[in-house]
Formats: sequence, structure tokens, C-alpha cells
Amino acid sequence: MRALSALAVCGACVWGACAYRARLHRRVRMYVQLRMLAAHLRTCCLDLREPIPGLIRSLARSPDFAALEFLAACEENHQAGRSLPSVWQEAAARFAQEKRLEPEIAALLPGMGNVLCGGSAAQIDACLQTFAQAAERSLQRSRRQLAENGKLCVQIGAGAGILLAILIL
Amino acid sequence: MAQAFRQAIGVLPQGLREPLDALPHTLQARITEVRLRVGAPLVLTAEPMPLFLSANGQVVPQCIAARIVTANEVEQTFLCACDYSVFRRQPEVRQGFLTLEGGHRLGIAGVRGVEGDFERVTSLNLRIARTIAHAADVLCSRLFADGLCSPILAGPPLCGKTTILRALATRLADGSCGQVYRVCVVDSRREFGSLPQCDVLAGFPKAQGLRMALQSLSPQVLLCDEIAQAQQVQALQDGFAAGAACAVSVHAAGEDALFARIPLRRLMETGQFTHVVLLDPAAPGRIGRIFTRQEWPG
Repeated sequence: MRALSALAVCGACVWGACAYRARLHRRVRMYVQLRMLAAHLRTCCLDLREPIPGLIRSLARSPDFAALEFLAACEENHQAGRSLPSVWQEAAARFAQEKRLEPEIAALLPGMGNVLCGGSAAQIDACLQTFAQAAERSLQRSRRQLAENGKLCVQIGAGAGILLAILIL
Repeated sequence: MAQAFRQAIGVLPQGLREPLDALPHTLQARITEVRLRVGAPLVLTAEPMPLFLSANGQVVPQCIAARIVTANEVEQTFLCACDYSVFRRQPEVRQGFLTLEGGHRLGIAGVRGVEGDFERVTSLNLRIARTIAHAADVLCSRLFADGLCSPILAGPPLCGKTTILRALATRLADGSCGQVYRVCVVDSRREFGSLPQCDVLAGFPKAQGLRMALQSLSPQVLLCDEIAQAQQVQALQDGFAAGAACAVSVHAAGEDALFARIPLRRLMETGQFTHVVLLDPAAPGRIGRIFTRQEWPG
């Protein structure tokens, strides 16, 4: 019985540490996709002149942007007849809050809908450049965090699990 | 007509669209414009007098009880008309209007921004494109019965110049004026929509479109809306030189000052136009008077 308990506690510690590491990984992937989003929007809006509603529809369905759940929410609410800038603002603000995005990104993302839908080409260009730079900075920070904390966290989790298992035994 | 109205109001936000959609069809058919101004009543232009939309969705003749349009409603209408992609429609927006699906036109007023766009839109005028059955009948029977001629359609805004030109293009192209002609329409503002059996150059500047048509489409008839500039007249001259007939429209307030209008004078000075057709401002799509070349002054 004790052996089983010790094994369970050890397993739980390791699982917790791995879950934290996976969360850091997901965070990195999300910032990669946000950086990609800025580049993709820039190409589609300024070079290809694609209309925004169709663009958001295709982005929401693309597996390359699967981590950016606000795109799907945005598309769904716009299809229901609501104005695109306001549904973008709502969905992006909720996404930023739920995913605890860095303050810089959380401040820029909700307002981007207004610029994309109502801004001129120059305004869109400036907005997407600022956003891409912020996304790049956030990505570097999250990568550093993953490199520094990810491995250490698993080691600490495993160590703590073994220690607790020994204590139980 | 009511169908065109319902299509045109599709760009309005739900709060404005729903009461307008619920109006009787006979009234919808009479409305030619929907005017939105920030902080002012919503105005429906209809003969014989303007109407207003009340707060409870009824149409009222006085503006006292009228529903006030908000800045957000004007902005939402503008964005929807741009398909939420203002950057794509910048060239049109800079000219002060947007052409919507179905040929409806949204006139824009507001504050100019640094790039020449609208920093803030304060007024919108939604003009509903109408199809008037048999709009070109009189022209066909009186002017084109014996073959091609080159008329100038003149009249104030909302008198049906574009509607008649569109109907005329269709009739000349499908042979219902007596013979099938190769008709080429230069539609710089994309108001004509699709015209079966006609070659339509949509969105091109008028002078450029006229020259493109001459170079590659060998038209027998060239149609162009609202000619005003000298270079457009010069392009029409090239059309005449190539043996094509031309039908064009110009703005004119009424009969009194008709022949004093510079664009009209420029067209008359080409010596190629055969008739000036003055439209009746009181009845959209109806011909008021036709002047032959002998009746022109000077």
C-alpha cells in the first residue's frame, strides 16, 4: 500500500512538472503564431489586398493558427451579424485575459481589429509592424523562460517526487 | 424597386436596417435615398417630400419625432460598405463615394485625414440604384428608330440619367432597337452592374476606358456616364473619329441654364452629338424635352 502511495505521489509530482513545461511550450507556440499572424496579415492586406472578413475566416480554419482561438470566436460572431471590429475587440481581449498574454501584446491585440477594418494601408502597416515587434519580444522572453525553467522544473518535480516517495516508504 | 431598396439597406446596422426592412413595399419602392448624419435624424428621400424614421420604427413626415443617428451607426455603415476593409476601397473613398453591390452608391462626407482619406465620417448618403422598366423606350422609338445617333442626356441628380443609359445599353445590345449593335459601356463608378451582351469596362477612369474600348473592342456605340472633363471629351472625339456613336450624360439643373453648362458646351463643340435629351426632374426616368442640333443656341 505504501509502495503504491509513494509511486502515486512521485508520479503526480513528475506529471505536474511536465504539465508546467508543456504550458511553457504552448506559450512559445502561441507567440510564434502571433508573430506569424502579423506577417500573414501584412502580406494578405497590403500585398494581396484581401478583404478582412474572408481573411479571418481562412485564418480561423487554418491549423497554422490553431492556438489563436479568438479568430474562430471572431468569425463566428461576425457571421451572426455583428460588426467585425467590435467582435475582434471582445474576442481578443478575452483571449489575452484567459491566456495571460504579456501586457504589451494584451494592449495591442484588441485594438488591431479597428485598424485592420477601418485603417488605411499605411496605418495597417504601422500597426502590424508594432505588433510583430512586440510578438517577437514576447516570443524571445517565453523561449528564454522555457529554456531556463522548463528542464529545471521537470528535474525539481522528479526530485521532489522521489524525496516524498522515500519519506512515505 | 423594393428589392433594390432591401439590397441597398443591407449595409446599415441592424438597428436601422430592421425598421426600414419592415416598411411597406410601396413605400420602399418610392425611397431613392437614405441619409445618415451624425447627431441628426435619419432622412428618407422620397417623392413628394422627405420622410423621417421615428424612434419606434415608424416613418413620420416631421423631424421632431425622428430617430437620431449616432456616430457609431455611421461608422458601422461605412465599414460594412467597405466590407470591413477600408484599405481596399481607399481610391474610391478618396473620391467621396463607394459603389455597392447592385450599383447602389454611398456618398461620404466627413473630416479629411493626413493621407487624404476620411479621418472621421460624419454623413452618408445611400443612393438606391433603380431599374425603371421601359426607361429607354422613348429614346429608342424617337432617336434610334432610323439607326444610330449620339444623344447627350442632361438632368439634375436623381433624375435617372444612369438608369436610362443602362436601359439604353441593354436595348441597343439585344437588338430591341431594331438592330443588334456592339455596345461598350465605360462605367468608372461601377454603377451599371452586369449588362448582358455589352462590353463593360468597370472601374476604369472614363478617358482611359474610352480609349481602351476603341483600341480593342471595336464598339459601334460607346456609353459613358457623367462626362465633365476636357480629356474625356477628347476621348469621345477619338470614338467619333473611329466611327462609333456615343451616348453620354451630363449634370444640368434645368432648361434655363442648360446650354450654358461648360461640360455640355464642350460636348456640343465636338459637332458630333445629335440630340440633347433633358430629363424631367419631377419624374425620375422620364424624358422632359429633346433638343435637336438645329435647336441648339449659337
